[in-house]
Amino acid sequence: MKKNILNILGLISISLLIMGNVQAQQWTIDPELKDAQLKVAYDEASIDAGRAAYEKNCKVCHLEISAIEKNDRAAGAAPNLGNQEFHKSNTDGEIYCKISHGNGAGMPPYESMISEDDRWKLVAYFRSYCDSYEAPISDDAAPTVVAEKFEGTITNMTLSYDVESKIASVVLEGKDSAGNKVIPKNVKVSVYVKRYFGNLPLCTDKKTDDKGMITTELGAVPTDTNGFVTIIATANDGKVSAEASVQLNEGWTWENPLDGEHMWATRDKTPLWLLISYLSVTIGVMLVIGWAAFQMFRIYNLRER
Amino acid sequence: MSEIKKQDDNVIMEKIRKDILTPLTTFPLGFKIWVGSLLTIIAVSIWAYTIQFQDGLGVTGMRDYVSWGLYIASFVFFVATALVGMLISAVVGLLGQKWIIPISRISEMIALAFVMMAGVVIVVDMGRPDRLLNLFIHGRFQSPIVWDVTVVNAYVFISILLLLLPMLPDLGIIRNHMKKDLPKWQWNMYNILSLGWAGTPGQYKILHRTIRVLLILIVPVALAIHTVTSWLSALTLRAGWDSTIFGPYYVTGAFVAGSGALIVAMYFIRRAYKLEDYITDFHFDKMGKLMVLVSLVYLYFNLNEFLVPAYKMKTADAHHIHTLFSLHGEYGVMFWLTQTFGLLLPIFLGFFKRFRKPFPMMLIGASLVVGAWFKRVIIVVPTLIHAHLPIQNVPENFTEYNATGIEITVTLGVIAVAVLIITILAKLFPVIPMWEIAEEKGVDIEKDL
Repeated sequence: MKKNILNILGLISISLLIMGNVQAQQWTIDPELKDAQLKVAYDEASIDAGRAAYEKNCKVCHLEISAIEKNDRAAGAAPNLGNQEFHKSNTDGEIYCKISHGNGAGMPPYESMISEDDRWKLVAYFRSYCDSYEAPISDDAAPTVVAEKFEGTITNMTLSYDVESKIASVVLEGKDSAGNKVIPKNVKVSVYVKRYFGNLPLCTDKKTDDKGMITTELGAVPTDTNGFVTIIATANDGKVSAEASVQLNEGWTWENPLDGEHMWATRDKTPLWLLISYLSVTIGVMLVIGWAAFQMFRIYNLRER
Repeated sequence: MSEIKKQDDNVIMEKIRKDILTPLTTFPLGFKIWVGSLLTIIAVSIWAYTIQFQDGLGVTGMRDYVSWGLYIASFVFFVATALVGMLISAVVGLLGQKWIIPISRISEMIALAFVMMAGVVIVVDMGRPDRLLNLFIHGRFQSPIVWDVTVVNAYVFISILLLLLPMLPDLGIIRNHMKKDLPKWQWNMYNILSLGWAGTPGQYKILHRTIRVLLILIVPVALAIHTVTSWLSALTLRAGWDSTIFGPYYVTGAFVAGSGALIVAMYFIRRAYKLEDYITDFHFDKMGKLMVLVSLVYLYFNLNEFLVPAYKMKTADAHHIHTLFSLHGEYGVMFWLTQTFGLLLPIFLGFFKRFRKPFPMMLIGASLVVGAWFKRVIIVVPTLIHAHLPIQNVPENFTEYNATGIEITVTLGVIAVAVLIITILAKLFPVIPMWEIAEEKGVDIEKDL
């Protein structure tokens, strides 16, 4: 009987634990937003703004997006938000709420970090990877005039950098549906400098010219200690990208501020003057306390025997 | 010595022994209720602490912004109040003021109890108290926290010595006269602690010298303990803490808190033990004047601490000042209530002789102590809310601090333990130094105890 009760108690506590953990990773969906549709126009401008916000805030965890059937990331890692399962199982409003409130676990809340407008634009950006997405028809949405959009397939992207002129150029090659070589014109290409925690945009709204090329100037960008920076170019459909490591200077030596005896250094690098002050004062006080304890011993020795 | 003088001495000593040692043997109902209620609070807070220990600091209101809450505020409060031992015995005592004799031991008891609980409350504030030893193994000498741990421990030892050493002659008296009245274990304890005190001139000579050295030593140590405590805050770049006068600001605030606590303890011990002949209205009058003096100094530091940044209104300071000064600010009401009841009103009332009587002084003292505790909350918490750099990606509610029930319960428990320690010390040991009183009355203490 007693054992049974213990078993039941154990079971209850284990299930409470599991429930507690599930609770800890729950998404908060505002009821009024559950079925909400996109609240910004689903057009190029929104998607581009969403991409910029993605590069800045999300990419550090969610990495490059690609339109795929199923999430291809390891369990526990931030998912590839181009996966169609994600798009089918979430309404616009649900994606918006997930960005806003996070899940209390890996995904932080961005309500106070990204403006409401930009969060909707992020949703628009994600939806641009969804094949079957039907954008809500709103009155104020600009008619999607896609002027001379490149219809073929981009086959190659070349990224080069000229040290003299400090200009990075991206050249696209492509083919049409018949397989003939064509120059991809009017393809929007974004160029970034790779950084920790969000890339630095160099240009985000340039379209390829008649030669299938865009150029952008690289300003004063801090390099790594060897003088290198990594430039990334992505065609805005996300299907083709290129990365190049370019040397901007001779490199530089990083002085580790933890080297040497400093107040902020580790324990074994305590400044000598501080160590001497600390130890002498502490030992001095301890000696006086010890002396006082010895006086008590002397008093005891003077007792009446 | 004449026979008459010796008889007189015997009569005086007889009365002193009767007055001061009787409370050691009696346990009236009021005492039992008092200890019982303290134990109840402590029991509940142990239960609350068990929850905190199991589930971590998440059960408190502390989050990424406010990572120091009631516990650290209480820590500062305890350290502050503990400075009363140094104020009374060392500063006032070494200045040759004889009136502090009957209250010096009470102040040492408060000092010991509060500084011990200051150490305990730090452990309570730890999410992983099992890693406490790491502080000693890996602590950086550059860190004020290491200095603080060092100096708090030094103060504990000196406080124990300053409580025990001046008590040796009294323990000798108890050993000599109370063998029949006490349980065997208790008499044995006094016998051991009295270190064979016989009142010989040689013993007195050593005693006086040792006490004098310790009283001198405790002045810099006490200044250090509270200056270092203030540096825990002041050495960080934070609006409200980034101040050069934080050391003296804390020390003077400590004197206010300490004298308040001493006045309250004096009042209740005097009533419970019927010590009206020893702790007289004169002592309350003197303590009242001392309280006004230290409060005025503290007021001066308050003016500097708040009005100087309030005049300049640097961006971050302005946020901080508005939080405190504006009644619509998060801590505005608490700030003004604290400044009124913890500082301004006591100073004002202390100027009038009629308020320097025992009962009004007790109320003023209680107001000072409660005010001192809230003042520490005001020093610690609002600054943390206004960080120079916002912490990113945290839920909205991280930016405010609401102490949880568990936190409040544990805090009350720690305070109850401090009061219980004082109660037990005041029950086990004579609260008034009998031999010094006798010496004041002209009894030849080297001959007869």
